[in-house]
Order: sequence, then C-alpha cells, then structure tokens
Amino acid sequence: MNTVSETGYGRISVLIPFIAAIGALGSALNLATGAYDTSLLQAISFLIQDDGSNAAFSVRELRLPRVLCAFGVGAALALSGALIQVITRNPLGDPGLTGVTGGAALGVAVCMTAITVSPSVMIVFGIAGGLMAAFMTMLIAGNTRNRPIKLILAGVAVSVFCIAATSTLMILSKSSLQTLYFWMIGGFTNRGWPEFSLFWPWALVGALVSLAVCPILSYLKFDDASAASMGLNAGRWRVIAGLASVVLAAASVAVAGPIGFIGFVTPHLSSLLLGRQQSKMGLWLVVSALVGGGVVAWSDALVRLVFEGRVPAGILITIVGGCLFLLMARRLGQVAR
Amino acid sequence: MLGLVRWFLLILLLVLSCLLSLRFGSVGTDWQDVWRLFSGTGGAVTDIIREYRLPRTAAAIVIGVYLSLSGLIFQTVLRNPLADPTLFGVSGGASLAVVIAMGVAITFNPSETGLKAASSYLSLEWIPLIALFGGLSATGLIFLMSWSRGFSAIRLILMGVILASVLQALVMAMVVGLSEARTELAILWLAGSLYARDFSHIIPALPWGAAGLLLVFLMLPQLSALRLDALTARSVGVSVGMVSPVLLVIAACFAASAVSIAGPVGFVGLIVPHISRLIGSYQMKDQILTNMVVGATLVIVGDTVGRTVLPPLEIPVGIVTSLMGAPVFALLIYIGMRRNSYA
Repeated sequence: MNTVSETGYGRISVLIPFIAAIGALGSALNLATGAYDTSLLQAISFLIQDDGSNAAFSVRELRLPRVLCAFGVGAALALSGALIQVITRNPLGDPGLTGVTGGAALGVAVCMTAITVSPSVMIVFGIAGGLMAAFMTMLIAGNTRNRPIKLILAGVAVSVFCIAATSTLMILSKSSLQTLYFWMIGGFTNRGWPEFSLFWPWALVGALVSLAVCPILSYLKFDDASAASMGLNAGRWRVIAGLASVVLAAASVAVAGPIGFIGFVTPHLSSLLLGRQQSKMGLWLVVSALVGGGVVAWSDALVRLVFEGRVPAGILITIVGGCLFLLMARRLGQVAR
Repeated sequence: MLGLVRWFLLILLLVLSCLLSLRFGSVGTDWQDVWRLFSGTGGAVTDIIREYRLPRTAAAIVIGVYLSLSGLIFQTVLRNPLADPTLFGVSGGASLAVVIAMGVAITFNPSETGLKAASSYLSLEWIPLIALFGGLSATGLIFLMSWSRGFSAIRLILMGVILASVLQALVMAMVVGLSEARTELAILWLAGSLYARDFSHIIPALPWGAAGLLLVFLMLPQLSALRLDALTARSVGVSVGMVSPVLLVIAACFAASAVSIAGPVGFVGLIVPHISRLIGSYQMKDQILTNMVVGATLVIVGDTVGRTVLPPLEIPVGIVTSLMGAPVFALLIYIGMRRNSYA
C-alpha cells in the first residue's frame, strides 16, 4: 500500500509490540485468576510490592512461576519447531511429530522411575532421550528432502514407541492411570519456582544458540551445494541447530510434559503475520517465540478460567493446534502429497 | 503337506497361548486348576479362572480377530502396507463417542458413582453401536479431508495421526470434565485394557463381527482382485468404485467393534497381516484365516505379558501391542524408503 509497509519496518514496529502485548495480557489474566480473587491491576501491583497478604503470596509464589513456565515453554517449543522446519527443509516439522518430545518424555520417565527425582538430572536425561529419538527418526526416515511427509511417519513410529514405553514405566512404578494421563498430555498445574529455575538456563542457552546461528540458518534453506559454495559446512551447522532445538524441546518436556503442535503451528502463524518479511530469519524466530509464548499463556489462562484448572493446558493446545494442522496440511497440499 | 504342518503349528500356538493366559495372572494358580475348569470340578481358584480369566481370554481372541481382519482389509483395499485402523482415527472416534455417551448417561443419573453409574445407565448393548457410529464418522472425516484426486494412503495416515491426537485430547477433556470419581471406567477403557471384561462386554459385539465376516467371505473374489492395481481389478470385472467403499466400511466396523470391547489397541491391524504374509499365506482365503489365528494369538500373548510382568500391576494390552507394533511400523517405513515406494 504505502511506502512504509513496502519496506516493512512500519508493519514490524507495530506487529512485535502488538504480539508482545497480547502475550502479556494473557499472562496477566493468568496472574489474576485463581482461588484468591485479585483484579488485573492488583495482581500486577503485588508483583511490584509484596504486602504480605495471602493474595500477594499466591500471585508471587504460585501464579508467577506458572505464568513464566507457560510463556517460556511456549516460546521454547515454537523456536524448536522453527529450527526443525529450517534444518530439515520440511514445513511439517514439529518436535512432537518428529519424536523428540516423546523421546524426552521417555528419558524423563526413565530418570524419574529408575534413578532419581532430582530435577536437574531429569532434564539431562530428557535431553539425552530427545537426542536419541531424533537420531532414530532420522535413521528411519533417511533422506526426506523430496518427501517431507516421511519424516513425520518415522517420527510417529518413534513417538508411539516412546509414549508406550513411558506409559509402561509409569504403570510399573505404580502411578495411577490418571496421573499418567495428566502427565502425558502436558500442562502447568502445580508448576512452581523450582521447575522454572530448572527450565530457564537451558531454554536461554537454546534460544541464544538459535539466534546466534540464524544468519547461517537462512543459507540452510537452500541446498547443501550452494551453502558449500558460500563456504559453509552445512552439515555441521545443521547439527548445531538441531542440538539447540532438541535442548529447547527437552527442557520444555521436563517442565510441562509433551505439549503437542505448538512447534508446528506457531512458525507458520508467524510467517503469515510477517508476510514478505518472513525471509528475515532472526525476525521470524523472534516472532515465532513470542507467538508461541503468547498462545500457551492464553491457553493456560483459558483452561484456568473455564475449567477451574482441572484440565491441563495441553488439552486445549492439542485440540486447537491439531485442528489448525489439519487445515494447513490441506493448504500445504503439494508438500503433503 | 507344508500347509497342514503350518496350520497345525499355528493352532498349537493359539491353544498354548490360551492355556498360558488362563494359567498366569496376579492370583497364583497351577495347571491343575486350569484342568479342573474343563473337567467341571473345582473350587474357589477355578472360579477365579472361570469368572475373570476365561472372559478375558475370549475378549482377547475376539479383539485380535477383528483388528487383524480390519487391518488386512485396509491394507488390501488401499494397497498400502502401512494401513492400520488405529492410524485412521477409528479408535479415536469410537472412544470419543463412547465417552460422550457415558458423560450424558452420568449427567442424567447423577446419583450413582464409578463403574456402576456408567454400566447401569448406559446399557452395554448400546456401546458397540455408539462406538461404531463414532468410528465410522471419524474414518469418514479422514477420508473426506485427505481426498484430492484419489487417496494417497500416506496422506490418509498423516491426517489420521493428527485427528487421532485431537480426538484423544477431546476425550481427555471429557474425562477430566466429568467429575473425578466417575471417570474410573472411562480411563480404564481408554488405556486399551482388558481388565475386568466379562462376557456381557463381548457378546454385544459378536453379531456385528459375524455379519462382517460373512460379508468378507462373500466378497472374497473382489477382495483378492483388489490386491492388484485398480485397472487390473476393473479388467477382471470388479467395480472398484462400488466394492472399495463397502469393504472399507466393513473394516471400520470390525475395528470399532474391537474398540467397543477394550478401547484402543494399537498396531495389531498393522503387524498381523505382515506376519501372516511372512509365514507364507498368499491366497486371500488362506490369508484371512491365518490372520484370524495370528491376531488372536498376538493379543492373548500381549494381554498375558501385560498382566504377568509385575503382578498385581497391569500394563494395558494396548500399550504392549504398541510397544511391539511401533518398531515394525518403523521397519516398514525404512524398507519403503529403500524401495522408494508408498506413493
């Protein structure tokens, strides 16, 4: 239309604050709902100043970490999905569909049942499980450049196996089926400061690595030969970005359980939002992360408002994300051949 | 001669697995107790076998037969070795329909709780019908969504997998949305378990299976022609456009009936047809019969393993079959990659 949106900076300077504001509103809503009635403003003022009341305690010690977990997990999963989509050149990439979250869940379950419940060890096991699952998926799928859907089929096989194995472990360790279901669907019930303090260093490292390699990522979209002609060892950078995406996904699983479809949907959503600007890799990653965090924060707020917290947020995300996937898979027709 | 030996071995395996399934469980019994079941004498221990293990074994046989037949028909009609009823959303749709029905039944009769409420107000005869309805709708939806100038089975599977996880999430929302004390049955049933199944669960699903089996045998020539590509099938006088949908509906009905008994039991329909081809049955009739025997054996073994690993804990048979089936699925994909087939 006008020159400003032609260059795109006008659009971006509106878009990013807008997305951030939506995410912040979802988080604030999440902060304000709960057993103690607090208004939005009250909740925010409790953040700044602790007046020692029960309401302030519940906002600062119970709701704030939960909100941070939700936003962080959403952002991490979105980044992870975006990285997978770039390095496999596959628009259907998603940490859940490629088996990474399943493997991470299995790793966490192995650690929980057989070794220790110490969270810091758990996350390492999660990352190891995620890596193993990613490796298995790659091995089964082989070269997927021409048939991206094969990656997903291989991922489904790996993730079905990992989920069944996780269920077996949890049953054998005498958890009830209800606990199992709650854990397998993913959510933020009872997540507190210990979980968040465990999560953020890994997520931060993953995010920083992915932002650091993003100039190179934009070359990885082309084939390896032209990447090589620019003096890049495509394989090496792909491994580095892949590691970052596994770390991001595994850290999320260790905190929230395997939440589906965020990693697939948000990168596409941010491409839609960015329009022609989506070719700017760094921008795309940042917007994806913001959208992912916002979506998960809103989902958690909604399940708390509607179901009074009895339903894990993962349910809502899976339903909405899956429906979006079905719609988009139709549109990615030439891909999903 | 070779055929006879193979059949003898297959039947022997089936009988053996039945006996093992009757013999082992969380309560210690020995072979004599199993024998007393057949000779008609016996006390409390034999009663356990008769009341709890016998119906369970029967249910395993029925489920194995239904699921493997369903998988065989799907694989033959779609000419795709990866086809499996659980991957086409049959189980998800059936689960959702049954859980909604249970929810409605509980809402209108809020006085009772737990197992009693669901089974006394939602009569068991209705469950197969409801499951059938849900399974068929989900399958129809998937076929509708992945239609574009013909079915690519790989796209069917992608759509099926995604829809299945959406349906599963909806089921979860239903289960958790109903109050917690009353979700026992739904949760148990959703895990694909044979726990506490008795003949009242099995019998309502039998007529459907018998009718389906009759139809399959009536359509045997068409089914075997469909193994070839559509053009060849047409040239030997099979109207593919008419026969395929009918067969697919029958397959979905088989799967839904199985789901109505035990909940989703994954991958049996995927692996059993491959096993029966591996052990050398190529003729369609032969394949169907081998399938039934192998399917029954597989589910019985899965159930027995699941409940004897660490008694009294129990791994639902659906999880055991997924553990066995997923590697086979992976292997099939891997081999398919090599041959670059599965268009």
